Amino acid sequence: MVFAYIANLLALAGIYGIVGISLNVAFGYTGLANLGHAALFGIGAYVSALLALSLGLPFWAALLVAGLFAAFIGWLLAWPTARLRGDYLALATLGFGFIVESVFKNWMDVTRGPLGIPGIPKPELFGFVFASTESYLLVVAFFLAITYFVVKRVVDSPFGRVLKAIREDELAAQSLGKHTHRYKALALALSGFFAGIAGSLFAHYITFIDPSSFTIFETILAFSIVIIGGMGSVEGALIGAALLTFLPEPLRFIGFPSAIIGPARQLIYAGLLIAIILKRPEGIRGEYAFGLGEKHAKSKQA
Amino acid sequence: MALEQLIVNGLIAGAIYALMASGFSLVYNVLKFLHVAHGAIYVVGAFAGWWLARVVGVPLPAAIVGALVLSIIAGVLVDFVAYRPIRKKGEAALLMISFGVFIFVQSLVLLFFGADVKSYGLPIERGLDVAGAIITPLQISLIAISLVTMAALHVFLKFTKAGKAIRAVADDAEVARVVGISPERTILVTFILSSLLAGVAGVLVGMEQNIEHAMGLSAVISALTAAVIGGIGNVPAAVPGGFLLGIVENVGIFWLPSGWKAGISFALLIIFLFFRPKGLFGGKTRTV
Amino acid sequence: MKLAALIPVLAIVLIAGCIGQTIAPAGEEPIKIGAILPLSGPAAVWGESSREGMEIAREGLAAEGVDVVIIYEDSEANAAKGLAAYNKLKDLDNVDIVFSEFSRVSVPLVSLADDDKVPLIMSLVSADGVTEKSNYTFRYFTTASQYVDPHFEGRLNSDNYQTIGVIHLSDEYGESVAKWIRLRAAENGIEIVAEEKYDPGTLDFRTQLTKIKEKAPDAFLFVSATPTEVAGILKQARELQFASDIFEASSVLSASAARAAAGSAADGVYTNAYLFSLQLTGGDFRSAYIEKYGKDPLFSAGLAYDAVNMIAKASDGKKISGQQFVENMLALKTFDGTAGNVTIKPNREINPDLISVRIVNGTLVR
Repeated sequence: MVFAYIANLLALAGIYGIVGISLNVAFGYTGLANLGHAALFGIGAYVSALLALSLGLPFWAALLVAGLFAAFIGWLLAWPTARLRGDYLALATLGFGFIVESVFKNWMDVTRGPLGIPGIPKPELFGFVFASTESYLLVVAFFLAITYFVVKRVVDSPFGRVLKAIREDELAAQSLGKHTHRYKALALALSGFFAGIAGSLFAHYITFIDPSSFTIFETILAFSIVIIGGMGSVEGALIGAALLTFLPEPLRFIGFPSAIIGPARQLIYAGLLIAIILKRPEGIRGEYAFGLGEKHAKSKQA
Repeated sequence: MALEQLIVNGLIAGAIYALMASGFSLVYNVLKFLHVAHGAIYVVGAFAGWWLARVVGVPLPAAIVGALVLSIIAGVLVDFVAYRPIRKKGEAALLMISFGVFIFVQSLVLLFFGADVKSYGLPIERGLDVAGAIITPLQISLIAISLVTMAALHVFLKFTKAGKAIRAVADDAEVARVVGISPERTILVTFILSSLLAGVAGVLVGMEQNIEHAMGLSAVISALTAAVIGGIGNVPAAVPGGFLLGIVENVGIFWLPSGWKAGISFALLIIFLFFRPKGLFGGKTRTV
Repeated sequence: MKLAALIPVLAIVLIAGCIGQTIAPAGEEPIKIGAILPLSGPAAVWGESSREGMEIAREGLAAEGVDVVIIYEDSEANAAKGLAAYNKLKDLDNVDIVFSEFSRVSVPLVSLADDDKVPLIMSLVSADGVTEKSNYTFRYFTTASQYVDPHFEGRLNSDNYQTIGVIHLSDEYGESVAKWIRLRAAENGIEIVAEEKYDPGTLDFRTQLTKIKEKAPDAFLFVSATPTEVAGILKQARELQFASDIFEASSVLSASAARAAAGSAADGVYTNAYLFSLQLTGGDFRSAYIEKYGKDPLFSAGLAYDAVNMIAKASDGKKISGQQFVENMLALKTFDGTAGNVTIKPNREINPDLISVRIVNGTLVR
């Protein structure tokens, strides 16, 4: 009984962990502040749901295609934003995120707009359906492990070192002969891939998706995970995801008068977020204090 | 006839966007980060005005002044509690904490005031016919007040000592300190001004339309977009940026289904960022 | 406060909470209802109102010696949060019945509740066919077509109305009703000359209204979900000097708070009213609500109040199995509540009546 409740939280934490790791690739390692990250998550969710429902694709294939498609969008996103730095990049990706949300809401023929897509099927393997929360947790854990190992290998590789160099000082990296635009594109593609996978896992878990699950607030959540867990730390993203998923839960047990439950919990959640950033802005496992992707001349900063 | 009306609608919306964008750009100009909580100050202004006028029962002019004072207090408080301690910790931290503050204030407003419908209760006015479009006296006042406020801001920034101090700190804080300007004092003035602008916008929208605890998000997104169009960090440019956004949003819907109204402003944001990131008049960011 | 110190504290609260919930109290077990309501976000006005109605019901039942425990959770009108809330209510609180509001939150819960054999009662859900997928699901609310038919059957089917313009909320509720408007308009040979939509939380409707006004339809229909939206739409339509007759194809104006907010802009507007809003029913509840909260109740408060009473009645005042509950509910066949006498249909639909009325000087007139 109790375990189903905990299992639900663990499954969500796992999915958000993948989201956090995927954002870390773009933001934590490469310094690209993709404020439209929830859009990649949402694209993965919608693609997976639609493939499973209209083409009858099995979950595993739908998930893979969703990841690849989101990766492709991430890769595409890199090219027009290649010239943009810092805040401009953040703003452009913010705009991208909102445009994608608009598409989800208005492309009624495909996404059914605000009506959402219900009845998304659960994964099946050799006749076994992963219907219960506990069994779905296994699926999430499986993909989380894959994400962790793949990303860990990537960031510890020479490729990963170039990404970090781009974050620190892109001009220097370029002067060393690196085609930074290509690296950024790959970083965003990789980020998109895992965000898309997380989106697929999310869609097949909740079994219903609509545009309101993929808004700026989900992007804020993703960034909170990365910042609290620590920029540039894969383990940090997991810690951040676990913390932010489990954090609001004890609030349920504190007996608020029912009149203020809704806003009170949000208040405390936001308050805790603020407190954590104030106390430890580099995050739990973070290595450094950060800007929005561009090395700035400290003396000019007010 | 419809086109004229849409342009007028665009001017009304644009007047608010311009106010919000000015305040937003002002903070960006000095502190070089996206002060998203600006939208929360706007909400404070709108609700404070309503509360004073309708709950406390103060006459409307006094309620408006009270609302502006409360907005300034809120903005300064936000800077002191959330931004000041982490000034040197990087723009991403400031941005995230700004989002945190935004959600915090929004929930606080919901907590205190509940979710019932709230209205300033002003009577419905007869619209005047101006060149084929209908506009009410209140709407004309709204546009006028917005323009006057921004003109006053411009005069302040250009000609007063505090205004010059703001520009100096925005350019280079260390050098400003050397010539005797206190960066912290200047930042305080910056937040007083930007919160005042947000408060004015909030009160105007409250009087002319309605108030909703969740109204701040779309307001700050529009502010951001308008600021980029004008040139982020370029405060006077926020004015044409705001009006342009308002008009394009409203007139664009003439040809597109109205569901895409929000999409238009984002498309405009992206177009400017890709093709003219410095905006119409040149922005000021940290990056070259 | 160090971060490191915070984590163990929260963990302890969480674990204590879990343990506390699993230890069942000794003695006669009360009926436990889990309520998943939108308590924050733009829809909070409905969640709050429902919660208030449920509290009055609970107190009323307690006075009669019937012990009902209601545990409230905030869905934030979001499917994922609603799911988490359901899991917590079901696994930790061991609720017997779940009450949920809003289509996008409630629809995903249907299959879960079915698997768990937990009765699920929905309100403020207008999506079509929600009770079809599970024998444990009940809907106590009007369906989308109910907002449209009263106007078309009585008024819009006359020859005075050849063209209509529509504006609706861009969510599952607005889309469902808009679909029925299109259907009925086609059946009656009425042309829809303009169809516009708006996002939740919009305050400025002038763009959409201008486009509709330009086509000068005979009638203007709007579908909204909150009093703020309705007040905004009507005021701005009046300022723009709409010549069309105005119809609300939802039921927000049946609440006096909405009419008060719209002021004189609501005069002459047609809307749908529940019998409760016409003060034909639910008088006792209305008095109790005004006494406790000092304001007029929204119809959602009345419906939530009814739901609790219905649950208590079908449970025979004590904790029973889900299956037994469903059988008892169906056996009731009818129920007298704030929405008047409603029929509990075999397909588990319980649809209160809606009547097309006109607003004259702030009051509803048939």
